[in-house]
Amino acid sequence: MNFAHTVTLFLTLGLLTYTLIGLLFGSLLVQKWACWAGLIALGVLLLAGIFRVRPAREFPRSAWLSGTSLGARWLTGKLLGYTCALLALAAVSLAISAIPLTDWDARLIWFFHGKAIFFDGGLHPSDFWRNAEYGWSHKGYPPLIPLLAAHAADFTLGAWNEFAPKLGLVPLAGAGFLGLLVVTQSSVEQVLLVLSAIAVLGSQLWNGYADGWLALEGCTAIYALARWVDSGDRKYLLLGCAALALALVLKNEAQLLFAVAIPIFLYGLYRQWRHLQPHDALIGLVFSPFALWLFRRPQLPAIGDLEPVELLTRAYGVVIRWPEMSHRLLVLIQYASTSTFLLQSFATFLLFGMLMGFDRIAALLGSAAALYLLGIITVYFGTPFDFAWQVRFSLDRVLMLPTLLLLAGVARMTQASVNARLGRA
Amino acid sequence: MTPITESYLENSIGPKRESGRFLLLVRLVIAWGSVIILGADMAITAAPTFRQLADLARIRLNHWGDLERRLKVPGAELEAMAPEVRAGVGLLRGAAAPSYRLSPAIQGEAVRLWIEETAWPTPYDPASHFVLRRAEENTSCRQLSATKGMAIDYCD
Repeated sequence: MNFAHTVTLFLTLGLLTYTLIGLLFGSLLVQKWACWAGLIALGVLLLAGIFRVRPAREFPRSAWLSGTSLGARWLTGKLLGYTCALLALAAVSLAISAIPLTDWDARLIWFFHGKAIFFDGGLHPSDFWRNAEYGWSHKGYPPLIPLLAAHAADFTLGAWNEFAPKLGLVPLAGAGFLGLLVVTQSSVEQVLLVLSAIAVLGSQLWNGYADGWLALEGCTAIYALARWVDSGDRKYLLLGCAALALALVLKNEAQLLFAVAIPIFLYGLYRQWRHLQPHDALIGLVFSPFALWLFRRPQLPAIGDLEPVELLTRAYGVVIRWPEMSHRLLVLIQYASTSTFLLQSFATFLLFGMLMGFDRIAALLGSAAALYLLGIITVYFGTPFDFAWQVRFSLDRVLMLPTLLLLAGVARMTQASVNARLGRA
Repeated sequence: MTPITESYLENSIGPKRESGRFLLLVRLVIAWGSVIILGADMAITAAPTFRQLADLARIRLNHWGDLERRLKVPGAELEAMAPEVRAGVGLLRGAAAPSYRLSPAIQGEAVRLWIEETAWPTPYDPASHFVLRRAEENTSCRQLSATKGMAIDYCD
């Protein structure tokens, strides 16, 4: 396992542990201790990595000096991708701290819950959760961003304002961009994917919404699972499950992503079951924060308005009425074609794959995007809100993940094509 | 469809495989062309996003002390809210109201959500004696204070 992979896993598992502690103890003080312990451990890990990773040891001096050396290949093959991802991480972190909380979902949902947790001293039953007046704030939404926001305010200021809580998003940026970095294999792919992520997600990475982080973690999860299916390397199984578990405590759409990941996981089991050990079942523990959240929700109470069974029932009601279904499909296509890169990405993915050949990972990424899109259509069919209003204000955001998956597939196939050309030369 | 592999490329080269090479070239041009078109479209469309990201990062780096100052001030940047939200919340805090409710006119507006969020931890309570209203609305309660088009009343 290389250093970047270790740091990414540490961040992802650290955020999951943080959520677990927040849900278990319901106290910001315990979370503060846990956070200090995590920061110290991260510092030790980074220091150990700096002293351990010596390019000269991995690439002999003679190799660095020769014209077509491994060192030169490392510089062009890895350094470019790492530099691009780290620059993106730094820029997004600075942008997060540059603007106050002003946008709708950020302020009225995620950071409002964070504010309630901050003033309650933790996540436990209180006037906020009991007060039916605040039902418009979707109190059933997952707890990670509110917990991070409450803790960032507590950690930096000890009071609430419109800047300090946003710093809680920086660890998510770290896990997200490093996740993209470690699941990809070379600099061309890394640079393309990081630039695509910024182009597609845009301000969702710094305005306090959760959709950008869901897309980053979702893409990391599906890509890592696909790598595991392809190679059997269990470090990707762990990273894929951890990123999926993190997505589940970020946003409700991750439950759809979880459903999409099941066929990929089963396919992986079919291909790689001989390489699995009994103790690999422990990887399932990464989902414990989400399981605990499902258990804690009724106690707060934090009940949502987009429950899966009700959604599916309503969606079925639309599907059996053909005129209504076709009308809704047309509205969806109209908005999707004008407001995102989805259709262009889908066309390029198909064209490139059909002409140059899909590899297994790209095919899995494309299949996951297609399944996720089907799920999104079902969710829109089952929405309890006004359909046109819901589509208008949310379609851009929910299509980010499938778009990023398709672009990851394009980047993957582009890299394979470059490799073939270089191999020939 | 045959994947483009090294061996495939090797087999495609040679005088007897000219047609194969031509087809391969066509496939390469179309496939790479589609990627380049997508990349160009994204670069043009997303140029303002990259510019915004660069600007925000530059502003933050150039004004680092400003971040430190803001991080130390409770309630910093509340001025980013609409004037009526700030006025309403200011009236609630000035009156030291333990809870509040909103007038029917405000209840029907989207600004209600922003007031309720910004006013927290002062809870909304439909039975509260403190009522926040627009200054032009009629009232039968005792007005405590008013500012910038908003007023707070005490109702027995």
